[in-house]
Amino acid sequence: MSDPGNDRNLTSSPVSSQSVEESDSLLPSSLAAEELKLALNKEATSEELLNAINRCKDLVLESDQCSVERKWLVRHLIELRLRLQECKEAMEDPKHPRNKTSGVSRRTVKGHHLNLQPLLRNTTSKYCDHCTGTIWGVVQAWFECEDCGYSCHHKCMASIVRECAHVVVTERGTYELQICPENGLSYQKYMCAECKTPLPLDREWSEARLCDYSGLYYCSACHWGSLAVVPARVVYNWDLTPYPVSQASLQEICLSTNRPLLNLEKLNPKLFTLVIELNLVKRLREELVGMRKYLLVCRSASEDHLLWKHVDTPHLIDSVEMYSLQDLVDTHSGELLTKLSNLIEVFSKHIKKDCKICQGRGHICEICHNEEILYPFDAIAYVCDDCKTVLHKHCFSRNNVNLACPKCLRIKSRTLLQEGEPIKNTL
Amino acid sequence: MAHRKKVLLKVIILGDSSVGKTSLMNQYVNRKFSNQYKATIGADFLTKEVTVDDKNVTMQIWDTAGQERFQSLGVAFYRGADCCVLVFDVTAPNTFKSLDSWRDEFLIQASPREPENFPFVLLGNKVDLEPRAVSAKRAQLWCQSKNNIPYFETSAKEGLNVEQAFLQIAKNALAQQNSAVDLYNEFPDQIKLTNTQKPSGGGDSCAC
Repeated sequence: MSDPGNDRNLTSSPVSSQSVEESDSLLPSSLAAEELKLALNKEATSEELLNAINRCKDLVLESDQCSVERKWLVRHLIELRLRLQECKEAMEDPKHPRNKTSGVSRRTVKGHHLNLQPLLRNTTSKYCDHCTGTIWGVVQAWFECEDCGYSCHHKCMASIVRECAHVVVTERGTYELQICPENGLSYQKYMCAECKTPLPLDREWSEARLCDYSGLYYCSACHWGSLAVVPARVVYNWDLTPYPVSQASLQEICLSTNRPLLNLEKLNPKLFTLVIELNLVKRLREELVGMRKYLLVCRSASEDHLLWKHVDTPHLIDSVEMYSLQDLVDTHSGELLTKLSNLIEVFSKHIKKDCKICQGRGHICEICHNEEILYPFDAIAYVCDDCKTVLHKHCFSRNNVNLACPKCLRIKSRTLLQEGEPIKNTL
Repeated sequence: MAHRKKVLLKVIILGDSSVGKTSLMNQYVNRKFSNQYKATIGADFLTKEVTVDDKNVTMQIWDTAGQERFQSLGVAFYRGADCCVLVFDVTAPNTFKSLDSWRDEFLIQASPREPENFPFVLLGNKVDLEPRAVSAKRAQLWCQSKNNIPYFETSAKEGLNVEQAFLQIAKNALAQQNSAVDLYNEFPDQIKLTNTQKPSGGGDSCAC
């Protein structure tokens, strides 16, 4: 029994020829097996192309006259020959992007690590970061920086002016924390801060665009009016509205949104009293940092990889001070609160319910001797600064007029005793 | 009185840092010894099944941090202890001097029902080392002054006396637990709420 699906293309019945006519460029199914030998992918080398051309010739001779296959094969043969010609030209020109041997497919310009992108990469309206023109991915050779995502045409590569945002961010190590530090156009000598295009003020309508992050003026090619949450405005005004920023600033902000760069406690401690969510986040983080100490030294927790399994942003539980811009945005949206309370639930289940060792490492308030185990990270706990004893806050303040820790008093009296009568004490 | 329930004895080892608390426990439970010193953080425990007076019991031995900086991780494990083992280093007199503090601290934190009668055991460790700084007589004198605490001279390195000491510890702990149970049994005969005189016949027990 012959397969009807295969028969359809071999016999030139009116139905099949019609359907092929519609999808002219499609590979006839009878030739599917030859697909690899015919070098249909766009990255083929000249040698592969030569082989494909020879194979194509053979197939043309084998196929029936006026058949769909022959039509397709001849068309493909022409295409292959054109590609071979292009490939030969590329090999002779060392600057051509397709020339892999010259190492042009990977270049370093202004700190960018630019990689040649495959022609067929599916991109929806990509624009060149240098000339702002559309990058026609299928036709034009284009490059993208693997660090900051800067993308540009091959032809624009030589004239890139923007430093790689990754380099800038890493070197500076922090955000610009002045709210829009604007100095005026005269300070920039009436030139775009990036590409130095003149931005004259004498005309009625000026093209100068202010970047809210850097406080500098840019031309329309370097400032596309993109919006971004500006860190300085968040830190000082708790203003999370996105402002127009230059493309360079946008890349810098995007690259560092997840880095814990903001020490809110130092920059603006008042924020914690004014923003309730932030105050809550701070309290939860303090609790988590205390729990982390228990989990770090617990052998069963480390066997379960409890810390690694549940924490994707370690800075949140490493310390209480540092925040990333994303943390603040998530605080505002309430996402961070849920995330942190989920973490607390997981951790406290281990410490207070599942793990005997962690429970043993808890405290019992020696003032009230309540059986309930108290942990230093609990909200109701008071921790003595000197001897680290943990007591209930209310027990400590109720039973003490001069606010002295009972264990510290014992230690004091013992040392006095030992210093006073060193010999008698040993008996 | 036969205990059907599995008996768990909670034993706490206390003493200054580097006297050999962890080594003693490791020698007893795993029969292993290492010359490397590694400070214990907070507290940790190992368990061992032993037979005391024909009874199978599980010993839960809590090894603790002698270094004060690690005591910030609490002392809740003191609670419900059945025996406390005090350890000092026979070559380091200071570790002997602080025994009083460890005992006091334990009694305050654990707050046992009868502090005077709570079982302690004293171990003078590192007897394989020279020179000796605390004599056996001095240690025994201290034990006498504390209501006759049993005293053993041990070496965790050589495994000397470790087995015997822990057997004594298990015995004392078991005695302590039994006395605690007896305390509850001093109440007069309990009234049994289940009616044993109920006729076992399947018939209707209703009088009408």
